[in-house]
Amino acid sequence: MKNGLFAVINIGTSAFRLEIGSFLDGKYRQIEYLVKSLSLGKDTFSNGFISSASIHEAYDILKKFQEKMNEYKIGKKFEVIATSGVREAKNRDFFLDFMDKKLGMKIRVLTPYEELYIRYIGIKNEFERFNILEKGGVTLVNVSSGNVSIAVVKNKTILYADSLHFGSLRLNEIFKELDEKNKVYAYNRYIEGMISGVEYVISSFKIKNVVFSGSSINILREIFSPSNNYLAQKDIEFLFNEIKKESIDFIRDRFAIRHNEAEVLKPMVCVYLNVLRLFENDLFYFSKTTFPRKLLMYYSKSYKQKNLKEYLEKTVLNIGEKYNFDKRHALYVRDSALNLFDMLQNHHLLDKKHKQLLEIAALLHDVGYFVNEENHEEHSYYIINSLHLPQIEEKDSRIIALIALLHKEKERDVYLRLYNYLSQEDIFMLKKLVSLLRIADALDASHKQLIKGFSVKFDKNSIKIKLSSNNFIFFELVSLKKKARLFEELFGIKIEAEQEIE
Amino acid sequence: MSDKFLFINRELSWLDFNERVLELSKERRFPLMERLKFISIFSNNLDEFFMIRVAGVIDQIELGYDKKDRAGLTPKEVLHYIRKKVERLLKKQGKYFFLIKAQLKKHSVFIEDKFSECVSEFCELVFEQTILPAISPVTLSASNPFPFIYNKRSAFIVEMEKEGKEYVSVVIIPDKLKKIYVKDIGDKRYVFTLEHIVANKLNELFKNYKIKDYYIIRVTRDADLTIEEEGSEDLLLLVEQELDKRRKGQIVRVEINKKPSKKIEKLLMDNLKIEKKYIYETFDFIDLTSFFDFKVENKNLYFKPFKSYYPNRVKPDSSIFDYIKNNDILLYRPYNDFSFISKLVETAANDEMTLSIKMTIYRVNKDSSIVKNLIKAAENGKSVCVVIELKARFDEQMNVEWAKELENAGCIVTYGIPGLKVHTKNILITRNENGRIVEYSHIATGNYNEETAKIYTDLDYITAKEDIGIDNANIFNYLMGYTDYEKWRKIALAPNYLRKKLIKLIDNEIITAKTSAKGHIIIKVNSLIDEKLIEKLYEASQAGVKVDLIVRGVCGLKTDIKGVSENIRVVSIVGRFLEHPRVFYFYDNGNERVFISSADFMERNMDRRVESMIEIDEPVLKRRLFKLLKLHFNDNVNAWQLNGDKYKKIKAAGLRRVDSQAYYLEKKF
Repeated sequence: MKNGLFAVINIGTSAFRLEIGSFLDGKYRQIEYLVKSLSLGKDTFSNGFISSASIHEAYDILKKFQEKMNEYKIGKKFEVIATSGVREAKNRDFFLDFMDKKLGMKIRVLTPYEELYIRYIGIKNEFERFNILEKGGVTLVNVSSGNVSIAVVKNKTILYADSLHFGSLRLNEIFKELDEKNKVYAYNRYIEGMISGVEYVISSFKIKNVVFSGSSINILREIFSPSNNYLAQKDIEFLFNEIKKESIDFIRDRFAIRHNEAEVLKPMVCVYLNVLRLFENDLFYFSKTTFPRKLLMYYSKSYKQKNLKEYLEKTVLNIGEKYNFDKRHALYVRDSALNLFDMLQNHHLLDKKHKQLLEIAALLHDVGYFVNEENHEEHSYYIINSLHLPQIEEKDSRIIALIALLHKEKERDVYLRLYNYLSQEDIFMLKKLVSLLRIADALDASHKQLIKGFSVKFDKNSIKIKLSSNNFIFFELVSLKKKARLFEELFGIKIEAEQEIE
Repeated sequence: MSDKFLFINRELSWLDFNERVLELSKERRFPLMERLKFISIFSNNLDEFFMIRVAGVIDQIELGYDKKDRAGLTPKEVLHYIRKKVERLLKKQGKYFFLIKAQLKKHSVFIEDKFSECVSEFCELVFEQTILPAISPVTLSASNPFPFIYNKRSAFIVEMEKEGKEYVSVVIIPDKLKKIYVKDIGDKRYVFTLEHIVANKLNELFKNYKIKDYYIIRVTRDADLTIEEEGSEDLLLLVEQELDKRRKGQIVRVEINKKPSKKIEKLLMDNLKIEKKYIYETFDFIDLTSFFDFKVENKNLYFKPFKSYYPNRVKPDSSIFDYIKNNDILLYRPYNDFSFISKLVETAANDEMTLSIKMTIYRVNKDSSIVKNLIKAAENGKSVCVVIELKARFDEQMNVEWAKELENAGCIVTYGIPGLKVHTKNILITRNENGRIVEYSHIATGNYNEETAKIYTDLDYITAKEDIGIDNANIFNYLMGYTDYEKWRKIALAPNYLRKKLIKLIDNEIITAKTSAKGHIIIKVNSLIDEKLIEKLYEASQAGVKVDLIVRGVCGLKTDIKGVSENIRVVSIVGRFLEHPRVFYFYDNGNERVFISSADFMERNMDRRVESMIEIDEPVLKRRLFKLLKLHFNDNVNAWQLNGDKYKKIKAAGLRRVDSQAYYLEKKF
């Protein structure tokens, strides 16, 4: 990031945190780090919604954090991020609206996968030799208060990602009525049940390196004070034996930790032991960087992200392969769509971010064939909707799915309800991207990559696309005529194709 | 170890300290008017002692608490010994006062009790024009009961007769009247107290009565505020309400100018609802606190003024921030000029790069230029945050006023943490210097009070060190409720951390002593009463650590106990200036660590206050502090040594005079 200040507020499940940092000549310095305890997770995981009292308390905290940001004249250089405590609350929209109306504060709610991805990027930047580690494969485990998210990464590709609902605070809340002596048993059975569904898949990757992150790590670090960034499974087993029969007060005093930390220690240790059993390695690494710091670095664009584009592309292609897509067609359509995007920039006036959405949609638009050729665009739609793409926010993921859905020129009325939650501006942007993808798709209608290249010429009433190929093409021309219609309607200009045989 | 013999009772130790203050009024090396001031300070101290400490002991007795403390005394026994000591001290005070009064005559200053001809006209005028309109005698009868006497007010009890019938009248002296009246005739200054003027005019006040006798009494009440902060929505309002109660607390002492007759004694006991043991016999000058502000022209009767100076020729102008970035500053008040701090705040208030100024306020003076500069900063658009302690004893009212004024100016004002008094003294100036955020911290051992800064010695540490800046910022975040996060890099904060840190440092000396016989601790504090720390110091002494304690006031530790405190030496420096810095030295295997702090070694400081302690690690400043400690410990002019539980004045007796206070008046810190 350029020289200046940046701030992040992290609304976690058990506490609110504000970090303000300054960037000067490539160096980062933490200026403020504030923590206010408020367990939204207790509300959400117990009752399903955030109580009115907690909403007002959250407001007081955020107001103070806002005061603190004003003190440093942060302006707009900040992000407010919420995780599962808000995300899973039934009244999440009310919570978000309340803070927006009262404080003018827009809160970004992360999906577990976005959260995991940011942690991954953070860890990648934190561990000097992460790239070497990554080559052999790394499993990232984020044990937070609400969820346990697991991602398997190998060769810059996310091979697997999932988020399971057995975070330590959540377990604590689920079993809070149980007698203390039965809790450990209940935690273990619950976790085992959750893990059994994914155990086989994770084990099949045979990954040895495991990196843990999340608020749980801070508690373990306080207890063990490790000098390096790793702990051993036997440490956790030792801890388990020390605390399994003890009261919260005993645990708090024995390890000199806060009461709310002592409350979640038993379920947390159970989570660790159950997850660690999936791996052969006795040692596991952990990330020392706090989540607010990772968020700050990520949103201020301060992480080194030179490989991220490649990483995203690899992950998307990996997904395509998983669904047995026509890779050559996908790459051809992708390239054509991006070329058209650049050539027609003065017409569509979209930006870099939209280009990225188009690129992913172009690569994945036909994954629905995996289910059935008929209505494959609809299958592509729900497949893409179920994905968790790194760097891509939930809303953008939906737009990618919609682009794929609409790449076929048929439009049903039912589709309308799929995007009627979008703003007029977004719908317009969606249509522009769809119109480009349709033309690109038409250029490889036969899936044989017959067109070797194309150029675009503009005159007053039309756009002329000059197509060069070795042989006469027919299918592509017919298809283009049909598929260019949306573009012509949107921009009020005809698309005319010219063939040039080399 | 039997506890009974290892501790000195806090109240009795405090009275010993006040006796040392009183002894300053006998010091021939001090000018007469300064000696008179010490008489007045002694009285003022005693007032506060009764209002708070004795009131506490009486509370315990009334609640039926009869357990022995660690000095082996029950509350009843403590009260008994307090009375015995106070009676002795009052006699001594009277003796010293009359001695000074007699000597002042040689300098044409006449503190009078009877009107001589030359001043009678003046006194009559004062009585008629100023006093008479303000007083209303109440002659006691069934329809005129004994009137309510507010805290620290004096009153006349006049026994009269008219037509063979006896009457008693009560004349309360109003608080708003001046206490001292001065008439200059030629080069002579005649001085009268308000009580003496009234006493001389009683016949006029009760024209139709025959005055048989009269007494002057002065009432002291329980003035400890009980503030239940839990659940209080508005602390400001609560403190204001409680302040009103202070003036009406239970009576804990009645001073009377002479031995009362049985009749008057009973009258007082019945009407003021006190026991006989609360009545203390003094003399006609019943309120010697009033002489604190009394002045004369003759400069020779005062200490020679001295010029305080800025350290290292540094000026607190716009260049100051660059200077601090490269050099830590240590001020030693009053030898160094405390206005430096106010100027620093003023510079920040007018400085474009300053983002925010934060400050804690425990005690500030009425016209504090520091606070005015904070207001100026807020008006200049800086973010100004003030943590003000509304419960600072006897300064509550002023702090309430400051809080309102600061809030009106747009400052963010908070009142600290419920249940804790904010006693730490910190300023934090944050600047954005072309993209680099730099924190300038000021951490002091004494209050931001420009008046007391002239007579209290204290240390002020100013630095731009990043670690300290972060800690300082976190102190404000913690105090202002911005964070629950408590992790400290360089500052040890009370409650929770300070005592633990001190115990760790002492333990470290114990280990050193056991292995190399070199452990050494020097502690300079105002009070040492925290039992855990005293026990730890005994343990250090037993392990062979050399423990040198410079404890100005209360000291609960006993020296010279065989097998317990043989390696501990305690001295108390009581001189022209009130010793106030808290400085701690630990040998630490030759690393020689020095700390300054806002905290005394008392339970209240360790457990119920927010206090800070910071290590000074700049070698030059460390050396200066070590020298300061050494000098104080070797003082043989202002020092008293504790032997067992008794203090004895140290005398130079043929040795080179070491006067730690005079030293810094002559030589630079």
